[in-house]
Amino acid sequence: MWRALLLAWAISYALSFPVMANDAIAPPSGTSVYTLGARWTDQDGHALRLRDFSGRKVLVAMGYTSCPDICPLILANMAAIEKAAQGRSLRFVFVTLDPKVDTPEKLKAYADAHGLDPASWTLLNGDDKAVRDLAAVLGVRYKANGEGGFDHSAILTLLDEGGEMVMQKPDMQVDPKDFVAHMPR
Amino acid sequence: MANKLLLALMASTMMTTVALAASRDENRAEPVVGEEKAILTDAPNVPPAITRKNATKVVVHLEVKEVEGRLADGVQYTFWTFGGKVPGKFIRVREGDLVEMHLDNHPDNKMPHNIDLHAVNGQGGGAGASLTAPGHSSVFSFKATNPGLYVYHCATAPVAMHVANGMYGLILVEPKEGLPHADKEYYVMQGDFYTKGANGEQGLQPFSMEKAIAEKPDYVVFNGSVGSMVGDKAITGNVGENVRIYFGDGGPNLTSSFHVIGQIFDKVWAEGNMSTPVSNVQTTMVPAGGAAIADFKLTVPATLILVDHSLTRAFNKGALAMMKSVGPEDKLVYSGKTDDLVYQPEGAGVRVADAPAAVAPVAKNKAERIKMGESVYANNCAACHQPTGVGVPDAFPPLAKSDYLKNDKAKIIKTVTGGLSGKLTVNGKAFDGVMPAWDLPDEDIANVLTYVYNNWGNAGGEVTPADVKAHRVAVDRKAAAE
Amino acid sequence: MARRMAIMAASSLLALMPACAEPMAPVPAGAYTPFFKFIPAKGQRATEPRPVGIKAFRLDRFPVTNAQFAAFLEKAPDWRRGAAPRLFVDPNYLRRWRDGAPPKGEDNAPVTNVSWFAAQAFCESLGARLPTTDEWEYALADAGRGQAQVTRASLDWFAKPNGARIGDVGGAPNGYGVSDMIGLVWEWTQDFSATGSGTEQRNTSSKDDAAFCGGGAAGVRDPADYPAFMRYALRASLKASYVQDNLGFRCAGDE
Repeated sequence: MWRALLLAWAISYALSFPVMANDAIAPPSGTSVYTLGARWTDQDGHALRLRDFSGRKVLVAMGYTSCPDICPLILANMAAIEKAAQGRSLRFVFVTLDPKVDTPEKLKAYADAHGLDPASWTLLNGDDKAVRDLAAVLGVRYKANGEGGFDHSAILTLLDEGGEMVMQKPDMQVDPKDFVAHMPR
Repeated sequence: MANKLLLALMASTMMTTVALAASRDENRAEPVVGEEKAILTDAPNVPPAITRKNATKVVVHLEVKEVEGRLADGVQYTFWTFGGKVPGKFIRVREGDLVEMHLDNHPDNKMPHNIDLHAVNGQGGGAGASLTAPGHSSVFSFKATNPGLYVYHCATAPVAMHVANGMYGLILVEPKEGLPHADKEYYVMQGDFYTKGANGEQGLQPFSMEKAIAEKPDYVVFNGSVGSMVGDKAITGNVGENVRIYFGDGGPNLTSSFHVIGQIFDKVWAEGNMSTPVSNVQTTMVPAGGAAIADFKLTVPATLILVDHSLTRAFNKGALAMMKSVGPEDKLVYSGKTDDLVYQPEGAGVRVADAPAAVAPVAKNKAERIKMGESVYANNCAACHQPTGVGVPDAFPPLAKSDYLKNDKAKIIKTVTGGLSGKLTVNGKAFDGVMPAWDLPDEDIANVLTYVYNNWGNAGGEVTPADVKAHRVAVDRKAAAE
Repeated sequence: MARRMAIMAASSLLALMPACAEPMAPVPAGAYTPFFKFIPAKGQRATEPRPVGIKAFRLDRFPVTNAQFAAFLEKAPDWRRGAAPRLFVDPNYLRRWRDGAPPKGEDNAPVTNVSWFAAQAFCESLGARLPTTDEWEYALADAGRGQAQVTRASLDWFAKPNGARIGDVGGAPNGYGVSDMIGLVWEWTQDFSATGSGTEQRNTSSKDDAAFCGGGAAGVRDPADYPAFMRYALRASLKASYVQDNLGFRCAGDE
């Protein structure tokens, strides 16, 4: 019994922190979001980890596709930043809070419906723990509302090339210029 | 004609509205020059008046601490505070200032806290931006667009409990032109407290949710404890000085009828509003979560008593403070007692003939004496010494288990019949007040003293009318008249 | 008397086997009304508090102790103070520990100054998880038994001066066999951040943020339950990397 528990711990530990194992990429700092090692699936069904985004800036938000009001506004704000940041290397990542419903196929359809350019937009699905840990790191508070939806905070987070959080906007009053100021050409 | 009047009325209303709106907008637009750290003070002190002619950025650090402290003699309470004391630190800024608030929640604390300043236009008065876990700090800023005296308080749920534990204070947004000069400024804030034990029950008293919800406080106090400003801790002023009191009511529940016994307020800025003070006010009503500024000139020496004029709060629950006015007498303003005469209503003699003669009852034995003494006590003594003889800390000495009563009978009779004033120590506590001379019949004095001797753990014994006659002090009416 | 014996037996057992907790207490399935009412969607009429179903689960009988956490750190050195990534723990993580050991004489006191990530890692190391907020509150509600004492004990704990050493685990169990939910420490829950999920938004339909500010008492099960407000307000004030002198945790498992 004891041994089984130890084994379970060892496995979960290894899964939680693959980054700490031998890896070609330099280990992230103690404050990088890329310290999270979970595996995700994008809208095209490709597996990836967050640190695969390293090397360029990333704008990340969390929401869900059946979200009636807040998420379209989040997307609109991200799109406004995309427009204002023309010419800069920037990745847009939208992570679902509702992974059971928002399958990769659904995320793909959602991206198409909102005209999100696959060259710069990634929509992610992960398991419950991956979603919970990322939300915890980004400070996204969320709660199922009992009717298939979620109450959640609308935080936009800008990550630098190494996954460090350089800027967060906690509400909907987003001025794209504030974000672009953090992105020298 | 009526139409014209209406029109004029509307125009004047509109102008007022326009003027206020303009002032708010002007204050929003006033450029912020430089930066300074706010001077914060504990009650009853107030930070110095602001002499700056420009708006600046004022940085305020408020540290939230949950601390055990004295609520009344022998009664401890765990207060939640803005800055270590109740009420919280007094904050003073100028109209147009940009105020940067830092709310620092001490790591030793158990609770999350936040702050709602009534001087803020914005989500929750700042509460939305300042919910802070122990060991953390929140920052937000606001433009002080509206001059006035404002309450701030914690607004974390359950708000009523955070406030009941002492989480309130005052912020003064001083008008650009400043306030009229005052020689002395004081900070007094009322609050109601709800304890698990009844009033006076000793030891660390936890909060009572039931009493709070029923709005039945055990204590109503000024500046966080019973007797915070009495005796040696009384606030002071000199005859001739203009005194200003910034009075706030933290609540959580009670509205205060703020009054100073023996003093008329020359000016009151009611509800903390800065535009139009009213003159010559006796009692100003200050709502929970509200404030007022009261100015008065000290003209005679006196011990002024600050109270909530809902009087059982003042005399039974603690809402009483003292201000000592020191200086020369002015007999024209106040003479003191000039005469003491026997009063005989007109026609009283005729009625006596019609009605059965009112003969004062006489006690036949000690038991009757005690019984009759009880009503003499209730009518004359209980208001100060309290119905059970416990007295009021720092104001009225106890008669229960009183070491003073161990003095010989003659001295006690002299005390009651001749009065007493000045410093006095009873049961180890110092008092410095006045007891008037009681000009009661020998029978009543004998009965009431016998009643007191035979109650509340005192030594027993009997005082007879003959004892009183032998030792009573004849009131010197001439001396009193001078 | 029998109860006291049981408590003593329980604590000596803990002392002997610090790293291997007693079996968790089984908590049966049941209906439970969350403190915050569900607010109906557009078009629906306002509803009374609506009970939710709680599946049977298991819950640690006591908060995780310093000794148990020390045993975890032996196996998981990456979670030691100084080694754990800053992303997951505040600088005050295990701030009263020295050289990997808890303060002397406090082995059986609840571990505190641990972040949500660290608490989660501990539970996962034992094949367990943190309880959800609903599970934790459901266990405290104890099918309605002894709720007046829960309120009284909470208010007494709030009044207790801070800075005193936290007591050892081993209090009397409630009807489910769970002890010390009140009176020693606050406790992390898996979805602590579900509380206050609306606080940072402006244009949201979110419901419970008002409960943490002046808007207050509307929309809760019992506006006179001050300790419940406190628990939820505490959760709302936390972020996952935060640590606190009086914040610990216990683990849960599926039945």
